[in-house]
Amino acid sequence: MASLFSTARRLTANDADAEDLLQETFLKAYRGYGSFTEGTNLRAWLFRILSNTHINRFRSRQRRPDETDLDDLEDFYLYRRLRNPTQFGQSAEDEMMELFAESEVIAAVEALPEAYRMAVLLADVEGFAYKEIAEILDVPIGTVMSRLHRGRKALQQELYEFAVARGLVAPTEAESERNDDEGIVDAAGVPETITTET
Amino acid sequence: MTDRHEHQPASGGPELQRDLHHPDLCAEVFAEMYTIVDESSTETRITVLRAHLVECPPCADAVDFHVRLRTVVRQGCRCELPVGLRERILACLDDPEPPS
Repeated sequence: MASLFSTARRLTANDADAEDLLQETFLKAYRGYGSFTEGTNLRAWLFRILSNTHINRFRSRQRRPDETDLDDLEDFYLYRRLRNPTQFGQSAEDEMMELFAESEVIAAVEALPEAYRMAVLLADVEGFAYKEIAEILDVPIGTVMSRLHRGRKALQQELYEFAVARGLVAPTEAESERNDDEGIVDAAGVPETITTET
Repeated sequence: MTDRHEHQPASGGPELQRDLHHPDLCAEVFAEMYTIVDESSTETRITVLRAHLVECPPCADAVDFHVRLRTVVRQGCRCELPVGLRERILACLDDPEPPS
């Protein structure tokens, strides 16, 4: 139950909605238990109900990312900058891992577009396999991998922005110029052109 | 870029050096980073890539970074069940009211 709550909390980004979501999830699971096949994955089944319930409850607020914009993000954003020898050595990176406050990690995760956040939560936090996530979200495995890939790209960029904001790293000149010139990335590191689903 | 790192001389025989230090393998590690981190590679594939990681510290370091980042995310996102929520849910299941 605690693990379902963690996911609910990160999906809804507030306590009251998370409690309601969890309560409704259990109620639906209780009522729909007949549709659960004995011997299959109960945990995945519960997360599937949680995911569907969340999507239904918050459909009006749901935002769908522009996939092309997430494609524009660079791979391994944080890693590349931490591994840039002119900025960091091994010890600095060790320090970085400890320096990200829990609140920053949470903010970075909660800033992810919905579909990507769900995939990252199910994989990184809950430890589900791709196949299980595909079943929970009712999408092909390829879509799971693509959402994870994009979500993690965005996450690395988010975390890097925190590091820069706190003065832990200086943005490279090229980055400052690029961001100034093109303005493709907002302060939180997520593309601004997100369409609202109607 | 980071995945275009230079190789240190390898230990092991010439055969091992050629196979495990093929620059393509570095690119492949980065291309398959998340299936490695998620332990979702096929067994054959992970055997090949792990053998490369043993011989290529920069790649091993990159994988280690991403494994640790995943741990940081996992630890950061976990939260405790609020006090009383379990009881409220169980009470609700005992006496379910139609959702309003």
